[in-house]
Amino acid sequence: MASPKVAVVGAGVIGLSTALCITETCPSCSVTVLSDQFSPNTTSDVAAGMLIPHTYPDTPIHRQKQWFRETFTYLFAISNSAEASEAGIHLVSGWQIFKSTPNEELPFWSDVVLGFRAMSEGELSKFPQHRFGQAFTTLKCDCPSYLLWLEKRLKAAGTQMCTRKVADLWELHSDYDIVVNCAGMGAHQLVRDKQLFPVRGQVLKVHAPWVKQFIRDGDGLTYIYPGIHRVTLGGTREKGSWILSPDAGTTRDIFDRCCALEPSLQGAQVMEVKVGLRPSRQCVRVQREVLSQGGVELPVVHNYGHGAGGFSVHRGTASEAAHLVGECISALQGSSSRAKL
Amino acid sequence: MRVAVIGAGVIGLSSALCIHEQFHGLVPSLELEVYADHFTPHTTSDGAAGLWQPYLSDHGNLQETLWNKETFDYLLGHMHSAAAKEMGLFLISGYNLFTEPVPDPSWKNIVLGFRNLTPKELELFPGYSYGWFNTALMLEGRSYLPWLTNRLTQRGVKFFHKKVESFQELFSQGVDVVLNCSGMRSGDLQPDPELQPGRGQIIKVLAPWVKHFIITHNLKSGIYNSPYVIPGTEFTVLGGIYQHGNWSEENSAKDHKSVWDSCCRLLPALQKAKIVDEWSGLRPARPSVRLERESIRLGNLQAEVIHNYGHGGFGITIHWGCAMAAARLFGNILQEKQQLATPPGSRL
Repeated sequence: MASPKVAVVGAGVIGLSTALCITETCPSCSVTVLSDQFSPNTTSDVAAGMLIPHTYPDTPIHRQKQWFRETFTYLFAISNSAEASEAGIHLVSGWQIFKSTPNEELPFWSDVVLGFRAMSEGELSKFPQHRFGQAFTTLKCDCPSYLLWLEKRLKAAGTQMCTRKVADLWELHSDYDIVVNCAGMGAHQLVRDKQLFPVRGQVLKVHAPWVKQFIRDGDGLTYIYPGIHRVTLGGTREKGSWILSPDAGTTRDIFDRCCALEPSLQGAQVMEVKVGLRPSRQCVRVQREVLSQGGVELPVVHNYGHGAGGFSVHRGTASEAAHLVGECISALQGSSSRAKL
Repeated sequence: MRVAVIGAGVIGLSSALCIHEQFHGLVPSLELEVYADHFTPHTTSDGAAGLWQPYLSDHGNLQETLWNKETFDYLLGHMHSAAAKEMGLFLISGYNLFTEPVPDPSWKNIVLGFRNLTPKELELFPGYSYGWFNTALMLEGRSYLPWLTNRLTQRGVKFFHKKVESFQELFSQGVDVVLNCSGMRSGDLQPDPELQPGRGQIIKVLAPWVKHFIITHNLKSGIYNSPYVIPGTEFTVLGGIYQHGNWSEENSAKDHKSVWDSCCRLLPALQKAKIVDEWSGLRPARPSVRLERESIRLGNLQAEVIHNYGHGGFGITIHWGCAMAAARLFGNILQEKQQLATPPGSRL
């Protein structure tokens, strides 16, 4: 197989980063990204893109840590380069605060982020309702800059971008040798995965350029994440809700909760209200599968179900998925050379 | 009781506010006036980035360290108010970088979360092998001075746009106490060979992805003669010039190149930042702040001057502590002149 044709379904952070990893590990591959939505209309564009991992209940911790570490290292190098502003990657410091001391004071990722330590009493005194806190420095992937930068690198590597809604993976079998499923929430329909469920998040993008630090409540419901041009205020975690339109009452509630943590936000102008459905699963599905129908086989690599942690582990899962694509290619080359006998 | 403040930078305006807040209720006849030839946004304070951070060493000047602490605590107390944004006040974290280990600074317990940098953090800054991380405050002059001006105007303080040529000029008009907050130009009012310019030049850029301050230190070349990057609300300040004795307020191409090249080496992403402005200013440097009373005999009158100048590159950092000290000196003057209304029942 001289030039394996790979289709990547999905153009969010997972689809684009997976496509990029494939071009890097398999330069002879011809890669096409197919998606009904591209930036700025993907779920990733709604997210703040903070590198603070979400813990998946059914994925082994060492695997999650490896994904996070790989992602952090990759982005750390970009943040430190001349490309940082174009890629939208920047360091940000801040606090995660808890109303009651968490069971696990040291999360698995505490030695991957920078300067992780408990907050001092002086720092906590700013938050009278909170009794414990963690201070650290992490990275942020500002969208749409990051997705546009990934697209630019993909195009430079010869990747085709195609706006198209894929309703069934079998649609692709005649034009492509391998299909990579990075459809995020779309996998619910596309591969009928009933283990995948939306967790609705509403966020406000505000103009508050004086906010330089992040503040996150450990309950995950209230957060203030300063980006390049906008500060993301959040949020909600509504399990099972498919509603994509913003709710005015929720907007008010998010704003109030964030102002309680950072009163200067009273003076912030709300520029946009957005909703995203976190494509959630008990474990991220990074897996090979061979679909078969009427004697025809279609190798598929799945890479979806990242829920609230997509940005945090994207590069790690992308490189694992690219590795699985490599395995698919070897398997195809093996069977095609057998077929030649 | 007429009080004239000379100077409308951060020192003049904050001293005026501090005095008015403390004494206008006690001294019914208190009239406060501010005289200056430059008002915001044309003062030295407007050019400063606004980062609260004292010099590395206080040279044993405990008084100044206390004033710094007083200022930080005062500002931190305002942090949680809705006024913070209007004041140009916000929290910011960042890095101080060195090429060798140094002793901890006098202000390590004043700022929040002071700690040494980890090896991984130092990877961000090749060429630097040691450093600190802490959370401090920004107080942007371009917001703070108008905020102070508004508070003063609300209180009925009058402003006069004129260059005062001598203390005498004000006393002969009936002013009782003069607050000399004239910063760099104090020497014009009363010669002071200890007051020297510490010339700085900065480049303002648009780099909204920078969320931390980064101050490098070269112990041989001295304070602020090594690149620094300080992100503000609208733009990021690049600097690294401190020229003792240089009175020029003209931008120098050589200094521009030095600042630009060294800051881009420090933060490669800055190469893509758009330059929006450039500015030179004179830090009113002095071995120590001059904060003291001076009684001047004018005929059969005793005129009082409170000096409050010479804050170098830490004016914003120390301003409120000095304003409070100036107010205490003013209180002493009032007591001596028996101007303070005694509370009922306290007379024997």
